[in-house]
Amino acid sequence: MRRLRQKLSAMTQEATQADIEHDSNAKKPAVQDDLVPFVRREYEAGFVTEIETETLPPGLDASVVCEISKRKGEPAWLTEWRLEAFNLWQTMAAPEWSHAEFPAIDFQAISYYAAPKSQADGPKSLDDVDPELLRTYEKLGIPLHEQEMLAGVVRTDRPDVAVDAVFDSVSIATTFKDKLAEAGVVFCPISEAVHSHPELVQKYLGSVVPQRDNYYATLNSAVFSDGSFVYIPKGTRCPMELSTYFRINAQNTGQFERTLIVADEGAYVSYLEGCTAPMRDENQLHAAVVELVALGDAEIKYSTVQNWYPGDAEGRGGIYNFVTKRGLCAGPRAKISWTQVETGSAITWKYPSVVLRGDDSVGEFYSVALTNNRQQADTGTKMIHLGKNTRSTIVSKGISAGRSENVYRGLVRFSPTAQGGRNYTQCDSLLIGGDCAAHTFPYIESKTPSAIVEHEATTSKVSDDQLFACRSRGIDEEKAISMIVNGFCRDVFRELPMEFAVEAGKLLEVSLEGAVG
Amino acid sequence: MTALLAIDNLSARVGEKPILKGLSLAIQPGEVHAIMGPNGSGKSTLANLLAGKPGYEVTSGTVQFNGTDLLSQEAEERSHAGLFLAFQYPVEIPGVSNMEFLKAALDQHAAARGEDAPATGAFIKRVRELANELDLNAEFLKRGVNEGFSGGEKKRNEILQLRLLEPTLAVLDETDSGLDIDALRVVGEGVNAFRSPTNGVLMITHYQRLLDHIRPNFVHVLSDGQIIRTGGPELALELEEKGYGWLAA
Amino acid sequence: MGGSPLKQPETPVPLTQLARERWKYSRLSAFEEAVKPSQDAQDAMTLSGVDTLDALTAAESRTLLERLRPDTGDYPLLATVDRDAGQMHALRVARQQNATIDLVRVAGTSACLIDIAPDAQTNATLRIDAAEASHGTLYVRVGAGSHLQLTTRIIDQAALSWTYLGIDLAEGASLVLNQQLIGIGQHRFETRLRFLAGNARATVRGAALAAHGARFDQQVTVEHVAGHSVSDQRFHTAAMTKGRSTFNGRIHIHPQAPGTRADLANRNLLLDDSAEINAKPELEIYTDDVQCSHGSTVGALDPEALFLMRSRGVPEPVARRLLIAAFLNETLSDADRDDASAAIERYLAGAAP
Repeated sequence: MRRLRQKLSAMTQEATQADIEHDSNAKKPAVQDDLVPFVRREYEAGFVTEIETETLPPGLDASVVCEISKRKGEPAWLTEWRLEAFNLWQTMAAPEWSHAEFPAIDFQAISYYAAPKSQADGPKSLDDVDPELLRTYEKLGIPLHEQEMLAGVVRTDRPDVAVDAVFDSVSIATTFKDKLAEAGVVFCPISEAVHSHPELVQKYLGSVVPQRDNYYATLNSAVFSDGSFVYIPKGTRCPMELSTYFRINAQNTGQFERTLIVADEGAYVSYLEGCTAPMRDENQLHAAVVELVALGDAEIKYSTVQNWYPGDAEGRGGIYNFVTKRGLCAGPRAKISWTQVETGSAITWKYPSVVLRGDDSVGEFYSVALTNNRQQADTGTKMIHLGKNTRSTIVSKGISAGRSENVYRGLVRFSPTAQGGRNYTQCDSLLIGGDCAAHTFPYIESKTPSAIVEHEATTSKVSDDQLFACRSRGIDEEKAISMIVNGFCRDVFRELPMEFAVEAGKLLEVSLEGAVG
Repeated sequence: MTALLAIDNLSARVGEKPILKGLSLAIQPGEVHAIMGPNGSGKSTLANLLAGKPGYEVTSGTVQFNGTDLLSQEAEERSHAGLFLAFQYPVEIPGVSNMEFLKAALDQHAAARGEDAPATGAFIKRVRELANELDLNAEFLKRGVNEGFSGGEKKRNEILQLRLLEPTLAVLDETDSGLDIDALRVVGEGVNAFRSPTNGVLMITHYQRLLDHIRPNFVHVLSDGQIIRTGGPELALELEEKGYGWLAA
Repeated sequence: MGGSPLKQPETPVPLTQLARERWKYSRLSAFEEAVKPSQDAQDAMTLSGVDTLDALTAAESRTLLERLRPDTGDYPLLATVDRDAGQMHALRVARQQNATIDLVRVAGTSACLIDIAPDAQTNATLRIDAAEASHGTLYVRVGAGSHLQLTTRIIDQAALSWTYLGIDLAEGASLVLNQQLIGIGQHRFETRLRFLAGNARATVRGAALAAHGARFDQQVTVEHVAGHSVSDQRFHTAAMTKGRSTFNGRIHIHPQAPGTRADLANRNLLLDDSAEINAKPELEIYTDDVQCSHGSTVGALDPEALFLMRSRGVPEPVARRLLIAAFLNETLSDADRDDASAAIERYLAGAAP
């Protein structure tokens, strides 16, 4: 195997678009047909940007909470809101029920605020952004220069995507604001929305994930730094994909973004989230909160490609990704769809959920979680059915390799009011190698005779027969495994917007590096 | 002339159990050989062993393919070198489309020859052509490898791969099993189209009926890990009539 | 990070966040408080069919119990039934013997240990027939190449009960386990099967009907400690008026258990607005060379089947009864069908408890 791999690494292979061409009439090219190049690379986003930052000293008490609020020039109600959360947090204990094992976190050793120094006054336009920061995003392949994008310099083959870039705790650039404003769409850092749209922020902040929701969400409520705010007005279809790229750069800082997306009646938005961090030997905490509100007939599609630094092969370093994501289908026929591809982080603990309150509302969760080396993932979803005829679909694909632990944990609950509801859950695990672990913990609770719940789970490995079938046609083992794994994830990848789908496929290959042989 | 395939006194076992016991066989370019024999005689073991399937241990003997040692090569290297096994039970690979699978195989063949990957347009054209010839619906190209295929479709898919990869030696392991008469004809035509003065075919089969479609130069009878009789096509007819018992007697 | 954590006071956690991978709807203290311990665990259980069996010596049973008894951390209620090994019924089915054993728990706390020697056949039942709350344990070691057919039966038991059933399977052993939980009352039944060597096989079938305010809690763990064995489980549960059922079925494949095949099917019928079904099938897998699956469904009767029967002239109430009975009968063995089926018919016909 090793010999073959060395041989292979000497070859160069080009990506081919066979099936994209073949399938050119399809609305969305299916990624399963995309022949992603076989690349050998380490964690590519692992570089550190040398930039002057302004950080608060490590430690957390009420004065730190006030200081964060003060630096952001927040109104009094928000400072109060943060303090309330902080007081609650002090009475809470870190949850211990997840399958992950890690040493207790010293919350006093973390700095709760880091911002690029030159941004202290906030960038007025992209021209004010530190060129070093722009280069960082360029390296990550994230376009921030609208002019370039409009002129087609960056890439002509992808549609416009409006980007909010969050570097450490601060949003440094939001593109396409003008074009979005024409449509009445608000897309800006939440720190800005607090001033520009206080009524919306005050109304919806904490309405889906309340301050007291859980330990990490409560901490986030106290110290959240920045994040994106989106409001799509009544009956509006957002004219382009919105996306946020999160980047942790500074050392010994926690990152606590808060994202709030509100789709008013009949509105539609597709939102993408990407995450990277430098390679560092110590663990860093990322405790974000994402709240989605879909009013009647509104639809929110939220896609994540999470590639935080996973730590090295021995499990040193990496991000602790303890995130609370929840959507509320507040009105009838609302729809919220989560799609996630999780390949990064040392530990992942997140359950993007949907509360289906409106009658006939729809919740979806599509997930690929890949763990390798010493990574631990405990992820899944919660579908809380409250309204009549509410429907939810869960498709989870877990892939474990190396010495990793991969857990699906999901709750499906039908309250007595959720008559005629339906849930379908498909939960598959693929194991690669004998030292990894895969677990499935579904919780099904029903008090509604007219609701139908169906859950299925399977566990398998890449079969020797499949591998041999590929090899006997001249395809080497590593490529064969990557193909089989991509095929295993097909049902989820087809839910992703096209460019994310391609990226996700590549990420899987990179993340599987060294998993076989 | 170098033999395409030269098996010399080959013995092999699976676990502790000896299956092949000193088998010898030579195939010259342009020849079609059929190996017939009762269940458990070692037919499929021979096919899998030639293709490099893990789990078989060669205890003695040699196999030369185009004058080079075959047994030291990995399965994919054998494929690159021009050996092809049509499986008796083609496996399903869910989610991996046929198109993707075929392209990956062709690309790696090209890379092994130090060539550029074939142009996508030409590739698609060729695959569609073959699908058409083999009576496979073009839809199948988008479906997962053998996923939800009927027995006949799976076998025709094997022949499509054979034609696409253009090996020099095709080993067909019970390719006729599970085929109805029409499918048998299509498969037979596919294999005949592959035949050439430089190519060879080794057919492993239980029944004579495939030989009606693909006429062999030689018929061998395999019994208890050894070839016990070799003859022309007429031997197959005789076997059909009398069964295997009279040979062993 | 690292270093010492901040000291945090305890706060109540949501139900689904209770102790690791366990999901306990039964309030454990209710079981602890309800039972008055018997003076002697032997009195709490009547045995028949054991005349020909040897009793284990106190030392033998202590040694065996040490092997079979799980960690009380995982089974906190075990502590309440803990008995000196000398006080339990401790029996041996000798090599190549055929034995039929009937155990009936009649009161208090009972404990029984059965050691089935290699190449023996045992046909056993465990029944609860107690007027007062009762606790009990049954440990069985199934020797190499031996077969155990065991039926556990809780039918029409108004008094609360808690039972732990632990079975270890040796090389080539086979088990057919039928579990019946039919009627009323509050019952928690914990089953743990362990495969300690290869080529063993377990077929588990469970039928439960939670009627008229019943609270059923079935916790089943199948541990494949060694590889190359097969477990196949099917549990059908129906919940009627104010009936509540919790089913937690866990399959645990240890790292040293390649070649395991383990399947679990759990189907639930929710028959009334006041009823409740909770299901938690779990897979916990530590090696790759396995084939495992579980499925769980919750729903009402299939309206199409119901309509088909009505369109053939069967009145709806009758059709419903027939369909529910058929659903539960699927997980009853032929031999057990009489008693259990009669009880099921009675509850479906609306007989008051």
